[in-house]
Amino acid sequence: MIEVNNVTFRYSGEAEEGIAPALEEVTLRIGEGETIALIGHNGSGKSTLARLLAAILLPQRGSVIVDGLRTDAGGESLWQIRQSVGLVFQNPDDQLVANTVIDEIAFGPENLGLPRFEIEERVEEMLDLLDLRPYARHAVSDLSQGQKQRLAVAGVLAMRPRYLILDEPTTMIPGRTAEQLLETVRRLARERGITVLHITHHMYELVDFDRVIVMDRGHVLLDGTPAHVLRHREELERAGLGLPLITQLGQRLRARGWSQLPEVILTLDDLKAALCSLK
Amino acid sequence: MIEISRHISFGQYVDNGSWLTRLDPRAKILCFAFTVAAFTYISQFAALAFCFVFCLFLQWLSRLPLRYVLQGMRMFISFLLVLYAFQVLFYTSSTQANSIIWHWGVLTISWEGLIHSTQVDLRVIFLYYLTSLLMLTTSLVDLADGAEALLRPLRRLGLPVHELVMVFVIALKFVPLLITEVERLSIAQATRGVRFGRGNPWQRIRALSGIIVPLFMSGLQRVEMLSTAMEARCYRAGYRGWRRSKLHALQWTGSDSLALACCLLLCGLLVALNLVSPF
Repeated sequence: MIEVNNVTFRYSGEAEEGIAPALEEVTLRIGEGETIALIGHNGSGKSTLARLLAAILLPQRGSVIVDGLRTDAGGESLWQIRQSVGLVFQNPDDQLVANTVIDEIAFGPENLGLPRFEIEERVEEMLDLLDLRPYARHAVSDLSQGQKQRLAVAGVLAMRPRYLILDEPTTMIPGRTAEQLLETVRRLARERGITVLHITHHMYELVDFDRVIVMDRGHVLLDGTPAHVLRHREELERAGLGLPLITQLGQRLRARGWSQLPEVILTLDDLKAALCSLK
Repeated sequence: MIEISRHISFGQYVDNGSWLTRLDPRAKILCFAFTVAAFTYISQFAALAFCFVFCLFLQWLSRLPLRYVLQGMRMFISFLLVLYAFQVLFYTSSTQANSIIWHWGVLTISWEGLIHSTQVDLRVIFLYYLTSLLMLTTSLVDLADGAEALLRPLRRLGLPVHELVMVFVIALKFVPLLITEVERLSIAQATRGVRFGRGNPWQRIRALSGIIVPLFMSGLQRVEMLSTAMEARCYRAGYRGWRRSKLHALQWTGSDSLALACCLLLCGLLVALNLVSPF
């Protein structure tokens, strides 16, 4: 369980310039095995929150507690937190350290000081899990952007984190590849009980998650199931977020007299099912 | 300017399973160091001819296509030719007066200048060849592991050997990324009407600044992101008591000893030839 208690965070120099803090009085609970989409406009504080959860940044007020360990306690617990909270960044080129695929996956386990046989075992496992086996000996620079992002996820998962935070991993890769990546991550989360926090600004991505947290100007604006969140159209629009196309279509149909349709439609299949049931 | 990456094979490891590729990186680095020392020492044409044969032998051992290796050297050699012209034209020495072939103002071509510059440049070409061969037959990770193993004794003097090697590996990793970045920037600038390689030197420098300034900015940003990503994966350089394990174990075999012995023998022969040869 990750507990975020009344956290306020301000980047250095922002107070003097009169800029509002990146996060203000944020309180959250993230349970084990949840898959969460964290959505918000640019500058809403999503990435800052991700870095606070992974103990890359430390809160100035309030506390972040990961499995009973405070991120600001320092010492060995900092590294325990970083091992259990894996963070994948937006641009894979900025986070891949090693030169070959195998070495990249091994980087984290090597840092943990694991014995060689265990590193090998984890590398093998990740090559299969993320379909990277054909490229095992390739140079990282020869991979496509989508393959690099899968590698970044593999590198983080090789540390066996309990929480996986993806900071807009789908921004740099084409639509179909992005979908596949998210599908893989969700499958892994189900199979291994990993908590996934996916940060995005694509509204259509949130429908497949258990829970959606909407951030706006450093605050949590909405928190609930996708259907619950999408019911708050006006709040979302004020935060600069439009409804997914399919939900909009459902609402327009309702406005045109199809009032039996549900208020929030999340997927095309839902819409099809709802329309068929009307006959 | 726009298609640089095609002409640079720097740091591009080719895993073709040749005898050279399979050697232990420590053996390769030691052989490389001895050969570079010997090649730098020599100053006679007979010895340079021996170097040429030596390089041909290495080329045969590497089983790399000669064309590929030469293609990687093309840009360097054209740069060297320009330097060669300057060296010859501005060569001055006390014994030169007897051997002048052509003279105009400050520009002079003398037999002595030609011989000296040819020797120097041939040596530089051989050294560049050796370096690119080392890079083509050794993966960067092996190179880094080998260098780290060889430099380990320096740790006793308080030198952060691992960190230094890591810096080197990351610097090399950034080479292809920065090349892509330069290409992207030069296309972006060219579409805005910036013309490279035209106008007076001042205009040329101004045109280049449109690439160099953003390149530095993005380079610094990348470095910051990368160090955050490394820390997030529990890389804790400089922390007391932190021990990293390694996926790859270096193994010294009979072929490595053989390679080192042959290399020492050839370097000895080369130096001896240089001492006894009259030209």
